[in-house]
Amino acid sequence: MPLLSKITLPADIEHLQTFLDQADQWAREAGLSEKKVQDFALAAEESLVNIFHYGYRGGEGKVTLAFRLAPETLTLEILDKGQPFDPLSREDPDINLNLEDRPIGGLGIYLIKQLMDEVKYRREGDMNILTIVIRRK
Amino acid sequence: MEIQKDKTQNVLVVTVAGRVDTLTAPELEKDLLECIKGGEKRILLDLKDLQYVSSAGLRSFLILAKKLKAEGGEFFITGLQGPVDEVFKISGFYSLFKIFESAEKALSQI
Repeated sequence: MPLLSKITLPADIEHLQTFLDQADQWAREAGLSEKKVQDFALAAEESLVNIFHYGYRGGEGKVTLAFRLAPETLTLEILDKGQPFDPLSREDPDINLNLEDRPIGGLGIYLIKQLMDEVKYRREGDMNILTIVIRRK
Repeated sequence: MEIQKDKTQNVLVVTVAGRVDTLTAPELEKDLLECIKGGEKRILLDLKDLQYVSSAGLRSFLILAKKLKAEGGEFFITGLQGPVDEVFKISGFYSLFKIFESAEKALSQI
């Protein structure tokens, strides 16, 4: 599967919009429906924010978004060199709790799992790699 | 994100248009927490013109609802549609708030 494009910027919220504009453009180039473009952007936002908040534990570092297109699928890889951290190891939130008991937060990764067709994590060398796949049709 | 506020029948009707995401949610949250601090007890969030919400937005909605409940107030949500409605369903948010189809319907019933 050829690597079509990638973008690397500091892991900081001030670059979030640039990352998301790029993800939006890739999704549109892949011919995704408006709904899927939006789901894809949401998955990108949630995974990036997760790294901005936890990946470098307040220190500085960079994040790369890489984009691959296959006949049936669009794949987004999010790479960082922060502490080893598998965001998928976190337990899913209990979505049946009432207002008083419902904890604040914990929904970002859950939304990615629910909206994307495949999500995988692997540690490769000094890198965390989150792979997100969405079907083009 | 655009926020429009309108007081009707003792309810603060807040219409939010555009996107409530990591970049914009803090502004909405701060604005409405100020309103609660200022004594607003019933807040209706009309999302009919909202195009996008991420977990940061959901987080703010939850914080506001909890805060209002603690103050003896009520939090209503109306106008759920499209991707915003889907994200609410996936997240189990329908059971957390008082949800009405539209602001008009809500105001006639509350």
